[in-house]
Amino acid sequence: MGAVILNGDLKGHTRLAGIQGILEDELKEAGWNTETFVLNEYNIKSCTGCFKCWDTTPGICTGVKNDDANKIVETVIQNELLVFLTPLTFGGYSSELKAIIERMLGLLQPGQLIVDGESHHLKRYERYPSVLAFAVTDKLDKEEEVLFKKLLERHSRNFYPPMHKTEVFQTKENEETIRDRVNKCIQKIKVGNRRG
Amino acid sequence: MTKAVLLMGSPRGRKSTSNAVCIYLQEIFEKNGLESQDPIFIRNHVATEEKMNDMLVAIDQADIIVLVAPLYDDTSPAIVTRTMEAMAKNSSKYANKRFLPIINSGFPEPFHITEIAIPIYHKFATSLGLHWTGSLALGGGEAMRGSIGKLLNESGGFGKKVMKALDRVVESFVTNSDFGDEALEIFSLKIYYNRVMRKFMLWINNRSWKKTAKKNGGQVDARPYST
Repeated sequence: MGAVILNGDLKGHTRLAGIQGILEDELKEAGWNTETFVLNEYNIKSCTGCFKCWDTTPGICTGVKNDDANKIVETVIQNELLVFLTPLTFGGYSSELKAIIERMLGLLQPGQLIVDGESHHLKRYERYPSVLAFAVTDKLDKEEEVLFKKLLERHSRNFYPPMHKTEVFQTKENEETIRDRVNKCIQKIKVGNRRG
Repeated sequence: MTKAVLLMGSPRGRKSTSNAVCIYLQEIFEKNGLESQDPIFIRNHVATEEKMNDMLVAIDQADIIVLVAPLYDDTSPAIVTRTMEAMAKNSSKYANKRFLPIINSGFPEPFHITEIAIPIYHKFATSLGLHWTGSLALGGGEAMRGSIGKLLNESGGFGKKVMKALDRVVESFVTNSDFGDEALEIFSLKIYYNRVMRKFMLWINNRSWKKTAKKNGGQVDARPYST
C-alpha cells in the first residue's frame, strides 16, 4: 500500500521536518511505501478557478501551465493514504498546502449530488485515499485545534476518503510522544471505498 | 475621512462574483463618503515580495478592510491564505482596524461557508487584533453569473438581493456599528429543498457540465489517472 505525504511548510521554514521524518519511519515500519513532497521545493501555482479540469480536459488541470501540480495530484489518487502536514494557520492549512489541495479539484467530477442533505460534488474515482492531517503549532490553542478538526471533517465530505483523522502537535513536544501519537493514527487507517 | 480597502480574493480576476461584489461596494463606498481606491486583486500581489508589500501598505493605511473572496475547498483560496500569513508577520499594525469578509460559494447552502471558513477568518482577525465587525456569506454565488463578467445590477433578482445586503454592510460602516454575521441564500433553499425542484435542478446542472465537456471534446466522467 502506498502513502503520499504533502509537507506544507512555508518557504524558508523546516519546522515540519521532524514530524515528517517520524511519519516516514512509522509508515515504513507499518508496511507502507511512502512518497513525500515538500511542497515549497516544487513549483505549484494556485488554482485559477477556470474549471478546465471539469469541462475541457476532465480530470486533468490544463488551465495552469508549467508547474508540478498534476504529477503530485496523479500520485495522490493512485495511493491509499494521503497525509497533510501543515503549520496550523488560524485553524486551517498553510498556503503551501492549500495551493495543492485546490489543484485536486479535477479528482472530483463537476455537478452536484446530495449527501446527508447537503450539496456536494460528484466522485470521479471509485476509490479515494484515506486522509491523515497533522498540524504543528508553537502554542496550543484549543479554538484552533477545534477549527482544524472541523475543517478536515468538512473537507472530507467533499473528498470522499474512507476515513480521516486529525492531530495537532506542539513544536516543543518530545520525539517519543510524537512517535507514539503518530503510531496510534497509523493503526486506525482504513482503506476502501466510500459512497458518494 | 474613513478609508476602506477592498481586497478582491478571487483567483479568477475580473470575471468573478467576488469582483462584481467589489465593483458595487466601491460604488456605494463613494456615495456614502467612504474613501476607497480600486479593489486590490490579491492574485496580482502574491507573486513577489515587492507586490505583497504594496498590498500590505494599502491595508496598513485603511481603517476598514473588506475581503471579498470565493470559498475554495471549504476555506480561503491559497492566495488569500498567503496574504493572511503575510499580514500575521506584521500583526502589530492592525489593531482595531475593522474587518469584514464577504465570502461566496457556488453551493446554494450558505452553511458551506459559515461552518468553517468564517470561523477561520474570525480566528485570523482576532489573532491580529482586528475588530471583527461581522461577515456576509453568499450561498449560490454562481447564480449571479459573475464568472461571465455580469455585474450585480445585471443579475436580476439574485443581484438585487446581494446589493441590498451590501447596502446594509456599508450603512454599518457609516454609522460605525457592527454588521453582525449574516448568511444570504441567493437562491432560496426553500425552493431548492423541494424534492421535485431539486431533482430537476441537479439534473440540469449535471447535464450542462456533461454537454460542455462533450462540446470541448472531453468526457465529463473520464478517469485519466486510473491505474
